[in-house]
Order: sequence, then C-alpha cells, then structure tokens
Amino acid sequence: MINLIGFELSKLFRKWRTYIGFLAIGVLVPIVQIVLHYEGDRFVNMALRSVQQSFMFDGNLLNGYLIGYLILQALIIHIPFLIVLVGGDILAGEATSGTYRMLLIRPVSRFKIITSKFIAGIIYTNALLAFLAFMSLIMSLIIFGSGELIVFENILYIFATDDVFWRFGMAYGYAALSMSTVFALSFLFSSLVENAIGPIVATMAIIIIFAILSALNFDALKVIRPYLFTNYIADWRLFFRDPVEIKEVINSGVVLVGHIVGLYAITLYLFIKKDILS
Amino acid sequence: MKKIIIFLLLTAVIYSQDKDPYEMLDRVKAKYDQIEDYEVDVTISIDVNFLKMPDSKAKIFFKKPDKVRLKSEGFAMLPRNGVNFSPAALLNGEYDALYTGSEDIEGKQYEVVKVIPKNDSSGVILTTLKIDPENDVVSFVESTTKNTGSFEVAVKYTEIDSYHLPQEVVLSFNMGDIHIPKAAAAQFDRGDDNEEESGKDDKDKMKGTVRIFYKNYKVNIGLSDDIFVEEEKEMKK
Repeated sequence: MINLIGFELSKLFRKWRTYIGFLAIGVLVPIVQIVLHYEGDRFVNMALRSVQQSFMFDGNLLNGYLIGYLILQALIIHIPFLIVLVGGDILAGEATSGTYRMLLIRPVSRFKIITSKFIAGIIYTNALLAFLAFMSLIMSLIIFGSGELIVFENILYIFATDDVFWRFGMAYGYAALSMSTVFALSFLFSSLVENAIGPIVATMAIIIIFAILSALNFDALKVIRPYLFTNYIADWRLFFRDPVEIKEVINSGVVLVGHIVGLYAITLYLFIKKDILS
Repeated sequence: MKKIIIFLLLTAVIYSQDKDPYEMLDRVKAKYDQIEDYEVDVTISIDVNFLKMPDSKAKIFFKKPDKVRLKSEGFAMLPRNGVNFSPAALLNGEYDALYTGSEDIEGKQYEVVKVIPKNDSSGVILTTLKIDPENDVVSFVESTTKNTGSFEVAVKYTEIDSYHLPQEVVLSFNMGDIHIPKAAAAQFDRGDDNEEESGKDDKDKMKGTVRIFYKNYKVNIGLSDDIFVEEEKEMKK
C-alpha cells in the first residue's frame, strides 16, 4: 500500500498543475508581506481608531503573528480552488489520458487504487497548507518578529506572545481538515466523469452555493445550515477566541471528518461498481 | 444642563457649605505640585466589554502638569482619562467648587467637593472629588465629560520620600460608542456570526474596569520632555 501511495504521489508531483497552488502561494504571500510592511501600521491604526481616542497604546502589533493571521484569513477562502485543481483531476485525469484500463488490469484491487489515490490527494492538501503555514507564518515571524496578536472578532482580542503559536498550530490543523473535506468532494466528482473540468467546476459551485446559504441570515435557512459543511470550514477561527469553545470545535471537527469518510466511502463504492469503458 | 446642576448643588450646599472648597483644593494642588515628575513600573489589568487581553507590564512616565507616556516591551494600553489623575489639569483653569459635606467610606472620612469647570474646552461637565483631609490627596474621582462618557477613579496611595503616590488605581468607565472592525471578508462566515454582530447594540458602549498596580517609583528625577514627544504626536493624529 505504501508503494502504491508513493507511486501515486510521484504521478501527482510530475504534473505541472500540482505546482500551481505552491506557485500561487509562493507569489501571493510575499506580495502581501511587502504591502503590509509598508501599509501595516495604517491597517492597525485604522482598526484601533475608535479605541485610540480613549486609550493610549505602546507596543508593536504589526508583527509576524498578525501578518500570518491576516494571510491565513485572506487566503484560506481561495485555497479550495487550488485543492480542487488537483482533486478534480486525480481520477478523471486517468480517464482523460486513457490509463484506467491499464491501471485496473494490474493485480491490485480497486479498493487499494482508490485508497492510495485518496491518501496521495490528502498528502498534497496537507503539503499545500504546510507550505502556506511556512510562507505566511514562519517567514512572517522571521521578517517581522513576534509579539502580541490582535484579532478582530465580535470583540477585540489581544493574545500574549506565548499564547499564540499553539493557536496557529491548531488553526492550521483544523484548516487541513476543512481542505481535506474539499478534496474529498472533488475526489468524488472526479470518479464520476472523464474530464477534470467538470469536477473542478462542480466542487467550486457547491462550495460557493453552500457558503452563500451558510452566510445568509434568514430563518428559513437556519434549518438546513447545520447540514452544510461550509458552515464548519472557517471554524479554525474559534482558536482565536478566548476561551476556545472546545465543544464547538469538536462538533465541527466531527462533522468534517464525517464528510471526509462519507465522501471517500461513496467514491469507493461507486468506483468499485463502475464499468470502465474507456 | 450646567445651570440645573449648579442649582441643585447650591440647594444642597446651603446646609453644608461650612468649609471652603477652594482652600481645600488649593491644599490638594499644592500637595500634587511637589511632584515634578516620576517614572514607575505598572501592572495593568483590563476588564472591559469590547476587548480581552492579558495583564500587561509597562512603565509610566509622568511630568507636571499633565504629560503622560506609556512604554512597554510588549503591548500595553491605558485609558487616557483618569488613570494618572492630577488635579492640575482640572484646577488650572477657572472653575466653580462646592463643598457638599463629608462621606464615610470604609471607616474613613472624606471631604466631598464638586468642581464645575467654567471653560468648555476641558470637556468636563462635572467632577466630584473625595479628598482625604489627613493627607490632602484625592482618593476618589467621579467625572462626567461631554464627549467621552463618564469615569470613576479610586486611588490607594503609598508614601515614598514624603510624597503620596498612587499604589493602586481602579478606573471604571462608561465611554462613547466603539466600532470594532469585522474581520477581513470571510466567505465562510456563519449566519449565526451575523446574528451576534447585529444584536450587540449595548456592547457598542465602551465600559469596564482597569486596575493599575504601581511599584518602583522614581520621583523628581528631571525627566526630559523628549520622552513625551511620541505620545503627543499620537494624540495629534
């Protein structure tokens, strides 16, 4: 099985589209860092303007943690597109290039093929997030230094320097779970068609529609809201509240894990039953 | 508004105006005037409705009459009003003062004086001072301002080189509106987050308590004005 996963990973990383996500993050994050280097003070001042009239401050809030947080917040909503670029192609790509039959006549079960491809995709998803964490957090800490983190939620939170890193660790861990759910959805769609465009568009369409339904504040939508996985995707932000609502985090995490397992199981079932004609 | 306050106070004062409030305030002012400047280490504990932050350590620099600079290795914040209460800022201009009697607080008698500045530029409508007559220091302040709400200050003093300086200050305030900027656009916002935002009218008022503990005073050390330049720049922004 490990050989199979290695084989799938080598196939994955031989495709140029796998590097689009890394390239996008590698270009975008330094641009944001440069902009914040020059404009960051204005951002912090603007955010604190109403408090500044009544309070005096001292200290550096424009530090690596704040920049890491802002980048995570801004980019995490676009990361799904980079994930589905690969997830949508992982099975449909085999159909497009006509290698399904060649793959399936080998003495390896369909279960192992699907599982190894799924695990390879999850590894890609996590590698992309690890790269985002390195670029946005570690590089920002190296460039801007550490300090207290200011977070604007329903109230202002200022976290002590030694109370921040673990929050980022947990937030990225949770974000990995969220993005794995996105990957699992694109993986399912990828198993249904023979061209990668369809799964990419379908996954993004579902994410956008669910996200809008999650955000709309109408009574009629309250009933369906808990069943939309997009409702739980941004709950990494719960780690930047005090106290962290552990019960809510666990609940959201369970929903996402349930989606990942469920989507994988459906894909597995459909693929095992699938009649390969191309 | 001011006329009504003065009328009400005058009626109350007819029965109690047996001590001269101006003389009392002059004694207080003379006491505070002994302190040219100081620097002190502080621990700040903030408990307010719009902000959550850990206790912070900082240095406060003070120079007569009302220059204050906060300096911290990490991040620290202090309310501009009330923390380093110096009567100079309040009593340097023209004002009406009314003695309204004495009050027993935790077994100690305090003289209560109400001060109404004549000059609108101070922004203060009415200040009530509770003066410790033994040491001629202000132990309690209740102040209502025109634009920044009201605040109350309770000060416990310590004696250092015959100077009475704050050892612990508890500041309670209820200030004006506050707008907390929402996090950058979040595509995956929950609907219930929006409900939370829309239903927080009362939270939009800044209110809470700030406790400051002072130690390691260095008094009358000839602090340079340069120390306060940065803070003045901030104020002008």
